[in-house]
Amino acid sequence: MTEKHLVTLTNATKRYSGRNVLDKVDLDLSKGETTVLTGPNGSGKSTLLRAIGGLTALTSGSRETRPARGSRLEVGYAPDHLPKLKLTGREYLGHMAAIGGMEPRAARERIETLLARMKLPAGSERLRMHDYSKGMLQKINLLQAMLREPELLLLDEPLGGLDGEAKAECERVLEEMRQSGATIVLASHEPVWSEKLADRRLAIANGRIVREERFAPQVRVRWRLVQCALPAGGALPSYGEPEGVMNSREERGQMRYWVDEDRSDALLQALLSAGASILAVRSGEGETEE
Amino acid sequence: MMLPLIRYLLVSYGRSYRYLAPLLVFVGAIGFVYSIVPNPVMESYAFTSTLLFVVSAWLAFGFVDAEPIVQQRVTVLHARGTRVYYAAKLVTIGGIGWLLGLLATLYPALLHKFDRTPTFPELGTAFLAHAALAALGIGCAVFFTEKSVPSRPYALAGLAIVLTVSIAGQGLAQALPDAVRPAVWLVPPAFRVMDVLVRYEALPGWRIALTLLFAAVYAAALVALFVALMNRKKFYPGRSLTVHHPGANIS
Repeated sequence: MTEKHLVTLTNATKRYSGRNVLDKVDLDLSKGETTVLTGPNGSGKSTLLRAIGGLTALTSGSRETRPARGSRLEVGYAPDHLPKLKLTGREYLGHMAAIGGMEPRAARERIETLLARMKLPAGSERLRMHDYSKGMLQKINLLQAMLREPELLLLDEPLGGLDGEAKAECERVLEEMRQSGATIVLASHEPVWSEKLADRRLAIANGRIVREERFAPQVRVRWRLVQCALPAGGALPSYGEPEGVMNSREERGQMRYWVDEDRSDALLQALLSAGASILAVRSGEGETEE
Repeated sequence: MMLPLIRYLLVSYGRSYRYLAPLLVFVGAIGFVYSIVPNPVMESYAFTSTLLFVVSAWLAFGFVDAEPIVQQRVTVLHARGTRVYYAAKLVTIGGIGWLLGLLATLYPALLHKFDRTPTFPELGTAFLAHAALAALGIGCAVFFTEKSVPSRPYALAGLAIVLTVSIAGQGLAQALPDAVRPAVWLVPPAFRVMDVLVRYEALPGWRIALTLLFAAVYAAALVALFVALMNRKKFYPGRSLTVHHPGANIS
């Protein structure tokens, strides 16, 4: 284990009912890395996920951790399904936050922020979790795992039951956690995770890692959308080929520029000096929207 | 961390209604026994403390598994430790058992259900006997959790046998040949507590105190063994090593 590794499993073996569910697995998880575990049902990926988090005692082998914050590794874990408890989602998250030692006020703020992002349906506040749909339960499941901004986030089939919008929001939240340095491990059938988020993918079969793929880091460009009204007469600002502009569009006397975040001030100055009136500026990253 | 955990366990358990049947049996039996007055003091306490032994085991059996195993994993992770999680569970169910013990001690005394007013030493002894047997019942039941005995019918049958043997230990000792009779000391000593309460006036104080102490130590040993087993068996942090900082020792 080196300094850059957050968790190392050495010869990790887990035996259930005379069968090795994990079979002498060696694994290093680097800090800030996102890893996807793939494999058919019963391949051992959920057990490996729990072994990484220290949630199951190994039959043999060892698990070492090197937490960056404090002496104990802060782990967030979302199982593949949360049981239908007789608590409302907000009550449940409040209890988990309090058990985790969060200050009541900070916990309330964090819960409200996360709930607002995941958008539970209207009227769900009064419902207990045993009346929730699969998607609603899954959202609460993910939120409880993210409550304390863990250093290591373990998610077992995190997209199960989520609709398209919730999946996209979940991806955004995970990307933010990744950007903030969290180490994420997902057990998932969804290929989207590998393509968009993962640094590597481990294929699991019969309790062993049978294949490892590493993905090139994807550069996600941060941009600003500058919206402006054209000067009188409708002439475009004399800005030729402005440096850093990634995309532009003219619509009903207004101009939109998607510009590299670092170059946006120069564009704004040029637009203002050309007589344009700035209507809005907004930030984003990755693909431009239009 | 323990208080929020206890609050959560109480709320979850309260909404599960698993307590309803044992609680109704306990309250119903006490109401029935004391519906006829007068009653002998220590013999009545011997009966209610034995009843509490069974009811506490029943309560603990339902309480320990009230949370589904998947959620137990999540809760343990938030609590950052298996020991603190199970300690909170034992404190919660122990508190409930002792409250019932207090009720069983004070109710007949305050509402004049006895043939005479009990003395303070009698009240103290009765409460300690109830508390020790509540703890003993819990100590027996926790070994039959879903994680230890996955089959519920087997778990229930196993617990019923343990409770029966614990209450009928005296008869068991008499039925056994001399050579194996000392093995009865391994049986949970519910029958010993019952015996000293029934023979309260005939026995010296030290004998009664030692018996209650033995039951309490036996119960404490059971719950300590249970927590150690659960900590080894599963959850968090398992058998792991933590490297704190570069150059630090592996702990």
